[in-house]
This record gives sequence, structure tokens and C-alpha cells, in this order.
Amino acid sequence: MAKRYRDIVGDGGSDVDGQLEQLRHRLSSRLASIRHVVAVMSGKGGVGKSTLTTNLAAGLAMKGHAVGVADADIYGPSLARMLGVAERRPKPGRDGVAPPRTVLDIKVMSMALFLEDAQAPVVFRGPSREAFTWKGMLEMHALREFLADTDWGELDYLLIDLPPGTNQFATLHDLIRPAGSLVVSLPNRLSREVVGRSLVLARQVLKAPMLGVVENMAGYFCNGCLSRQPLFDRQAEADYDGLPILGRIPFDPRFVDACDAGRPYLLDYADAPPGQDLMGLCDRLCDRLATVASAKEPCL
Amino acid sequence: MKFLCVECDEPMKFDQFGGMDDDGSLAVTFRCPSCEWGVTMLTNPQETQMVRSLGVQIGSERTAPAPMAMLRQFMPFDALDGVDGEASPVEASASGASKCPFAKMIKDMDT
Repeated sequence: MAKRYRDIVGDGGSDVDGQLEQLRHRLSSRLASIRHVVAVMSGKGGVGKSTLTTNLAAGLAMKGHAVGVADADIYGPSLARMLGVAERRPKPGRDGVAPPRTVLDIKVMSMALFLEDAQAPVVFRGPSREAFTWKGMLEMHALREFLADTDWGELDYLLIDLPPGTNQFATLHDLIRPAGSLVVSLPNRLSREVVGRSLVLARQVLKAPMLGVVENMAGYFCNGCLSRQPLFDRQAEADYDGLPILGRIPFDPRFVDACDAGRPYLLDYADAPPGQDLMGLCDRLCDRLATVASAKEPCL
Repeated sequence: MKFLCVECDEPMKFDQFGGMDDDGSLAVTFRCPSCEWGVTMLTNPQETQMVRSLGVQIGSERTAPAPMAMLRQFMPFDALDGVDGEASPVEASASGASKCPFAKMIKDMDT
């Protein structure tokens, strides 16, 4: 009988297992200087994850914390634009790649920073036929390199803004185990249903620790009469499988202008009711993470 | 991946690199050290790309991968190229990296 793979000593010297272990070590070493890694996810698109991440980062920075943001949306990156660093370039440094910093000193890493211009699509070099065989690997490596090769330095919070769906969330949980995840939803039945499905995957399949839910666009804030109006028809009571709702953020059209201008809404409107809601959300997020970190209460 | 000469029950050794075509297809010839029977491994562009996308180096001579090496290798535009910065000791290996995933193996076997 001919020899089998294990009968021939060595693997040509490649030590693929050792190389993968080195990549894992590089990632865990980098994240060791970050107190809390928080994923911002939703099963559904268009719920305002990136807007929320932008303003959470701003709110935490305004409270004096050191904050970084990783844009895990490989094909639709938006955080660099929303945080005002889209025209900047990361810089190679002695300890990884130095990310651009915003006016609030938030460190940002995004695929957008690796594109030639704002209109350039994300296209990996390689044969276009049967690209499904290798594209998924590159997406995973892009996220891994964002986390492992960015010189984040010492951070209190690293927020990871995930694309819609659960695929990248599952990849993230293969790579690292965030301190907890924040789930973004809208106060309507469709969103709650889709988000509920992603929660089942996150909690039951991946056993991912969840911090709570944020309901975005929970009403409309009128800057003229300073009142809060419902944005959607009255819906059934929210039920997110027992997860606490950490915040309900009303929509303010100035969110859109702020995003376009690359300036977090909170920088200019922290005193407006939606701004106060966002700052309150930051406090509750910090409290939840502190509770989880001190193991007084496990993540749900 | 190893190649075995069934007749001799001997692992084959690298013999010749047939080059990588523009589309990414690759040819590497291995030969049995006992009977000199040869076999050429031909990969199509997808197979070559699949190995490249694993993010590991094939062969015994390795350099620590430069930061963002995969991104820089696979993005059509190198955002870090020409940017002033404090270059890391392994920085040079990113831009100078061979596109052939088996380059290290071939170099090993060549010497």
C-alpha cells in the first residue's frame, strides 16, 4: 500500500498550522491593549448601524474615552466618510498601520481608506470566474488585518460596525470573541422579525454574548416645534428574546447632514433630545460593559 | 500537498518551475529521486488564487507578513505605497511579495 500523507515527514517546511497560530497570536496580542471590543450588528440593512456606531464612538470620545472604530463592511464601507477621514490615508508604522484620527481623536480603519477614490468599488484582484471559491477567504483576511495590523494603541472601546446579515458577524466570532454585541433594530414588525432571526443565530448557534438592543428611528424629532412624533404606525410591543433595550433614538434629519459632512451629529447637537438619548445610550453601554467585565452579571 | 511516486513509494522532489501565466495558471514539475518519473502540477487561475487567499506562505523560508499584506496584495490600488510613514522592519516584504503562492517552496527546492 502506498504511503499516506502522514507517512512522509514534514509538510515541505511550510508549517501551515504554525503560521495560522502566528496569525491568531498577532490578533490576540493586538487586542490585548483594548479594554472592550463591541460589535454593532443587525440582521437587517438600513437600520442605521453606521450612523449609530459613528455617534456612539463620538459620544464615548466626548466622555473622555479612547475610542477606535473598525468598519467591517468590506463592500459597502461608509464610516470613513461619516467620521470625516475619507480623504486620509493610513500610514505604515513600526507597530502596524497607523489609522487616521478624527477631530475627536477616534481611530478609524475602513476599506474605504484603501480605495483610490470615493467612486472606486471594492474589487479584489483575481480571476473573476468562480470567484466564490476564494472571495470569502479574502473578506475574512481583510477583517483580520483591520483588527490585527492596525496600530490601535491603548483603547477603552473598539467598536466594530458590521454589515447587514449575519455572515460577517459569524466570521468575527471565529476570529475573536467581542466583549459583547449591540443589536440595532427599527420599531416595526419586519425589522424586529429579521433582527430576531439574527439573534437566534448569534445566541443559540454562535453563543455570542449580547449586550442589548437599540431601536433606531424610534419616532421623529421635529427641530421646529421640538416635539417627538411617531415615525411608524403603532406596532406590537418589542420582544427581543429577553434582551434589554438600551436606547430608543428618534430620527432627526440633521443626522443625514452630519453624515454627509463627515461630522458626528453629537459634535453639534449633543443637547438636542436625540443627542441626549445618544449620550444616555453611551452611559448604559458603558454600564453594561462594566457589569459584564466585573462578572456581576453575564452577557445575555 | 505532497507528491508520491507510487512505483517507488518515494516522495517526489521539485524539479522545475514552469512559470505562472498572466491569468494566474501555474506549472510546477516534480520528479521521483529514484526512478526520475516526473509529474507536472498544473493549476488553473482559480486554484492558484485559492491558495494565495489562504494567507499562508508555502515553503520553509518565511518572512513575517507585513501589516495589511493581504489587502495590499489583492487590492488594485496600494493605499500605503508612497505614503510617508515610519516603515516597519517587514514593510518591504509586502510590496515585493511574489504573486505565486508556491514561490517559497520553489525557492527552497531550487537550492
